[in-house]
Amino acid sequence: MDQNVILEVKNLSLNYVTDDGTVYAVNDLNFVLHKGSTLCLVGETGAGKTSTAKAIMGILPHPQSKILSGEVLLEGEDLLKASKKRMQSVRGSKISMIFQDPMTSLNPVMRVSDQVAEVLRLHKAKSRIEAAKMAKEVLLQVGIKEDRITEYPHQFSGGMRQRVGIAMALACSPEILIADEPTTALDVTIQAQVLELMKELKKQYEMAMIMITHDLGIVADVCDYVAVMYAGSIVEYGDRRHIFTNAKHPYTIGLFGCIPDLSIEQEELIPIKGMTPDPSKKPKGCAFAPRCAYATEQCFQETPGNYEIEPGHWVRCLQFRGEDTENV
Amino acid sequence: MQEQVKQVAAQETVIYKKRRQLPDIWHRFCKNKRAVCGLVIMILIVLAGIFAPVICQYDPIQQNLREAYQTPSLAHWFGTDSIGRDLFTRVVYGIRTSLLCGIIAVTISLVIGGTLGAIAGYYGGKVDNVIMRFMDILLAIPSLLLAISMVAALGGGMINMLFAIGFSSMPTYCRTLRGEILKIRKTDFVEAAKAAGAKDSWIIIKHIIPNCLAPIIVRVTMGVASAILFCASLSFIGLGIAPPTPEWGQMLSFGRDFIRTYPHMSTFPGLAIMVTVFSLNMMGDGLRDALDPKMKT
Amino acid sequence: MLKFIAKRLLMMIPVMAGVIVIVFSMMYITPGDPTMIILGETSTEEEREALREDLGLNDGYFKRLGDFCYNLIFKLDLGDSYVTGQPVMDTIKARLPATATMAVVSVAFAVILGMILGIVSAVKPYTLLDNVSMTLALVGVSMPNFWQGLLLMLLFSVKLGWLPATGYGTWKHIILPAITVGTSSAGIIARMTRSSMLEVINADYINTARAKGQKEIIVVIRHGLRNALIPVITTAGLQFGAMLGGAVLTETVFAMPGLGKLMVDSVSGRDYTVVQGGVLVIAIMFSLVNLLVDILYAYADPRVRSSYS
Repeated sequence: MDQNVILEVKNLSLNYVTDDGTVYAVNDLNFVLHKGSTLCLVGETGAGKTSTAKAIMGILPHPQSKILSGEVLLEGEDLLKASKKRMQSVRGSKISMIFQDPMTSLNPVMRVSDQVAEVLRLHKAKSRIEAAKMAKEVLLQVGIKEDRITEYPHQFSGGMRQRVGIAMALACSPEILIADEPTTALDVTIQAQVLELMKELKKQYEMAMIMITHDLGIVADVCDYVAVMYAGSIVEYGDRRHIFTNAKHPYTIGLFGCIPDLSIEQEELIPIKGMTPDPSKKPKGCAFAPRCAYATEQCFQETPGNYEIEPGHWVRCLQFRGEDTENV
Repeated sequence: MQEQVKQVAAQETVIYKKRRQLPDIWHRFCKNKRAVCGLVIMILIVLAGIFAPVICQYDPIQQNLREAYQTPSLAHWFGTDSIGRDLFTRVVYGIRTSLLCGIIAVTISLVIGGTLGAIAGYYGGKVDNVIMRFMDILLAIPSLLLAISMVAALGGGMINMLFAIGFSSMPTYCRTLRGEILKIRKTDFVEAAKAAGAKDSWIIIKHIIPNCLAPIIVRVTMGVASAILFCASLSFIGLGIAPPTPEWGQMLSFGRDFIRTYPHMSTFPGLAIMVTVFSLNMMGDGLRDALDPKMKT
Repeated sequence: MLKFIAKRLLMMIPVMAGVIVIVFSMMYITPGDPTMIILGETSTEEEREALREDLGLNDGYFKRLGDFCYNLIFKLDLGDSYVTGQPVMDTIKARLPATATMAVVSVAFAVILGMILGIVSAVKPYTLLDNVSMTLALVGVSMPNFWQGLLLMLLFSVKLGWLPATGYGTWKHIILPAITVGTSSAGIIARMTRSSMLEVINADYINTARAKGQKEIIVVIRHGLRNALIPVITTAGLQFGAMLGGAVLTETVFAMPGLGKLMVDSVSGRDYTVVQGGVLVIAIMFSLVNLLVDILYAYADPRVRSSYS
């Protein structure tokens, strides 16, 4: 096994069982995360990005969701098989997560300092006093002023709250940080500040990061590797250069085609024609085929495999069958 | 491209219609076993009330001292009371009294409270303020106590009791309607109707009332349940329906004197109240979930 | 915080004034001649007329309302009972402890039982346990409390002989009435706790707490329950009013010499000054409890607290 790999997700599939039927959220997902690198999961809403993150964290909603298959290997240890207790010691200390909406992800009735101290007390600090002291340091580090650290979340702006979220996630210097659209809910100007802060801290803490986003500007800004997700699968995977200069999958091309000019801030992607497929119906063939301009009869029949078209650049599209160096 | 847009639009209308249609509500209601159970019991109770003379072979009012103090038997399923009246007969006839009282009391609450709430919600401002402060005052007095003191002031009897119950439970209806109307008033279709120059009364009848039916139906179902309880409570302390009319609370109050020797006299009327109120509440819960999953108690 | 309490106390004044006007007006329109009750059927018209003049019954509505308010506010005087001739305030003072004790015990009972049922249901929703406890809660809500009182009495006093059936004096006398009064409130609190918990348990900050590696039980209690309890506090406060109302029936069933029984006896004895005073005192008690609830609410929810400071 590659010493440089810290997290590997293998053949992950999971679904949600609801009253209205089964939703196949993630289908046969594979990726690796290298130490100290940043992987971006890109895709439209409902592509299964957040579900993937929650599966890694082991915090999928309990009775509704079910992991069908796969492994999540943290330094070779399968987290999906780990005991409850083991997962509790992993969460927050080895892997932590920043949530999408800072307005709802902080406990409204707890002081922010206490919320940061909680995670420290669990993994790092020996006493409550020590935890409080360390919490203060972390909060100062993310740019919260000292006189405000004992305030409650509702007294903070969105950007400030997300800083608290970052402080909580980084407090125990985890090896992996999962950031689930950390800037989507923020104003554009604040977005840049928060992103800058995250980049800086990532470097300082030498973490690996999984950045979930649908904002290609962020992708270009922070990532080393990109995984483009569509309907619960990764349709294209490669390093930044592969994706930005040599995108092959029709969906990826469509994504970039939506942006006339990268220098213009783009709040959200203009969807490619048609809609994200209904995830409660598992389609036959390629999930993207109904919206694909290049789709052939075969695309509706056969599920495409994962084809490596150049070293480290994988595409899940039948067009490239045979072009790959090695079939997986 | 156009084809797809059409498809999407069609899909959306289907979803929209689906939410609105009765079969769908019915389907969701049926999924809730407790609600269906409540509905079935309620139907049985109502039928028993309607066909009381067919079901019962005795007279609910006529005394028969020779048969007095009988414990439950084949001849008298629920036994007899201290003056020989068949308790089963009286309990079944009591359905008529209780349901009628419950429905009338709720109607009074709904008409007075609902109208005031609608006015407050629709016009807002000072009117709203005055009405809601008045409701605050009523809410400061526990409703059963308010009802009792109203009966004391107006004098006993069925009409006065119903009015007292209706009046004292009015604030809930007022608040429900006001809240709903405040919500609906801000929606686009009401704004649009206003912009088109529709009259207030037209907007209220055509747009607002149909849209707050769901919470009203739920509130009324549960309201009948609590009105029945109220009515039984007042009759129990002798301020409600006077004997010899068969009424469960009043029957209980008589049975109470014989609690040590003949517990059946108070058991069956109490059971009747509980089953009825329980079924109505289960139905109300089910309706609430079926009509609007997001609505809370 | 002091500012908040002062503000709430000020807000109570108009409501209480309204209650006084309503209660007074209700007694004002009451048919019948109070002097007949005081002096009895055998009294002469002259005697009654003299008494009427003496009590101010011949004055106009506003004069009498004014006198009533003046006596209440400056002398804490609610008038004399028509039947016993005793000052109403004294009678109420004598009866208050029984009702207050029972109310406090039953609130404690309702809150503890209701919260346990609600939390158990919310933690394992849609399971057998949830169904059983929610059905129990609904039974509690649907049971007429006078009937429940009779059943409890039958079981614990008549059959088992563990607790006294009627009367007042020892702690044993309080148990059955308190359970009786508290049951329906326990049911309502259980239902409220469940729905509130279910809502909170899906909140983002619960996931945040889990992501920290916190134990599930602590996540549920520290992060879930603290937030879920906020609406439950209000419900519990409102239930206090229902309990004071329920006391009327329960005290009648258990022959407890409390305010509730006093009210029933006075209504049947047409002792209207007592009814009037009793309703007022209960309304004031209820409002004070609601004030306390609001303070608790502000204490539990920093968002509310800061909106007042």
